[in-house]
Amino acid sequence: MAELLQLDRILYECSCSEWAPLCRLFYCRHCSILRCHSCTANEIDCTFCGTCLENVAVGEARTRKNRCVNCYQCPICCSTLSAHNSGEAIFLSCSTCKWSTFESDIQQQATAGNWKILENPHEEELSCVLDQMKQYELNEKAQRDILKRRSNVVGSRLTDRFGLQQMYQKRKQALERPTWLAPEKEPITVLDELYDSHFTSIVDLSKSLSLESRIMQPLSRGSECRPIRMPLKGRRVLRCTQCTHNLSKLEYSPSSIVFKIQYFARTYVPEIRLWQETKLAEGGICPVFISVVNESVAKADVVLLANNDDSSLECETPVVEFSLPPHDENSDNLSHSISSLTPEDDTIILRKRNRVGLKLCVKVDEVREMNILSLILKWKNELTSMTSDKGQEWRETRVKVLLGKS
Amino acid sequence: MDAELQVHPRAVVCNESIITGSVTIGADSVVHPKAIIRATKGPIVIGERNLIEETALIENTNEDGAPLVIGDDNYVEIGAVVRARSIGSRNVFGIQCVVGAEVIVTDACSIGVRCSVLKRGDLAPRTCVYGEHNQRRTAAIDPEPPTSLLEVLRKVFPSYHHLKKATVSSA
Repeated sequence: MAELLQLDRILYECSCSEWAPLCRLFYCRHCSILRCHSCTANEIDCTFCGTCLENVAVGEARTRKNRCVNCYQCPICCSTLSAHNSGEAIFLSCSTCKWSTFESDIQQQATAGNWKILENPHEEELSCVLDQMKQYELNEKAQRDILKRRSNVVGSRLTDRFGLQQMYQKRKQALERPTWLAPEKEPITVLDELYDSHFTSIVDLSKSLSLESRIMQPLSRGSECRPIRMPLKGRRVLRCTQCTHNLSKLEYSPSSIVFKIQYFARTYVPEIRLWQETKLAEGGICPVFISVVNESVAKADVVLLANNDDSSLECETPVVEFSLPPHDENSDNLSHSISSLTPEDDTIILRKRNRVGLKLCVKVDEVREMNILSLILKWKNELTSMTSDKGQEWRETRVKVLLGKS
Repeated sequence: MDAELQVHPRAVVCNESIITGSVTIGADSVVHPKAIIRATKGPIVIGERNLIEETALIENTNEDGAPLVIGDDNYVEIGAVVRARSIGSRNVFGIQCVVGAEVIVTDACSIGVRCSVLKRGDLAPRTCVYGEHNQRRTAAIDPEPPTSLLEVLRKVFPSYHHLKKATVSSA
């Protein structure tokens, strides 16, 4: 039975001709089309720490190297480290692999935060090189500017009445090639000899770090470990690529899970679900039970057409037309009142509030591993467009129902 | 059946716990309702300040009939299955972990949630089994004993549950 609820059993066609389950799709009301993750523009809305849920501004996150300053990760198994009190001092320990700061060089300290992380021993040298490269960049930029302007000769004749001399000097200075100040490195000519003992000595694997934890802390040479600052997470905002309106946006605070803007396809497009597992026997006409639900707050008119050109099965029910009442949030979902149990016709066999149960007949020609029933879903719902007159137009998408083997 | 059960007067053993065979429970230990202790092949001797939670199973499967001796301050969490040959002190058996027969658990080991230790032999002190693939490492500190939890349970259980009566006089 759980198989019926699998997301990938019913796939809808997105406007970019990708196939996805309805719950993964979005619906842009401005363009009146379906959108999936790959045809929307993604942008980072806010960066935050997943553990303490602190909101970190983008600039600040960059200076902190995209790490939280308060939360720490286990260098062995990546779980969150928790602070414990041992008398006066505080130590961190992992609840999963029991790694603790007693195994590092800083065993305990007075405060829970501000643990020293591993630092690059060549930090100073590297920043010096970086500064030099920036100077070269300025120099090259100045040279390019001069080629553009071609006004380099006037400067020397000007008096410094308007402070132009100073400007000229500055520019002239920028044009001079800066001297290399960073210490130069001598190339190594003699390498350490590779001893046989590297291959023959017995390695104690319990003392060496795993590859994952070596990658997590590239600055640790050998087996030294320190708590790792928790990497920050980014929260995404999705936009329609055509009209650039937001499709999904959460509230500002990372701890809130309330949407400010949400255009999920499920609330605008009628949802098709398998209702019973279909038994497909070769050569016969078999019933396929599906239900169609309207989750929107407006009435929806629905037309289901058989699309036998794409299908691996022939659908004997060419057209089904019905309308679905709006979804009522206040109604009791658990009540079992069925509006009409008596079948209206051969196809519509059940109606229950905003849900309709359909019986489609399919003809199975041959034995296949996977049978796909292809349908065209047309619906009319006044919410499908921002403008009320356009809301009365019919929308259309293709739907694939994966029925399984025959 | 209950004649073989020996409970220390300071131990709190709920009546709904399922205890069969010759079992001795030491002072200040707490056995939750629906915890299962089965002395199948030989007796089980549980020390002091142990906490055995609901649906946890402790079974003596020693083929030679040797007693399964459990030390002090052990914490057997919900649904853990422990069939070890002997257990030391200050160990933590995580939720739904499995410890096979012929495993000798020494001291301060911690078996993670849903981890299993099936290979026969000793678990060295402070061994920690964790993760999906039952990785092992040696910790630098002992796992924290559930002292405060035990204190609360010792107060709460007598007011809400029927307890098995003590059979050993507090000497």
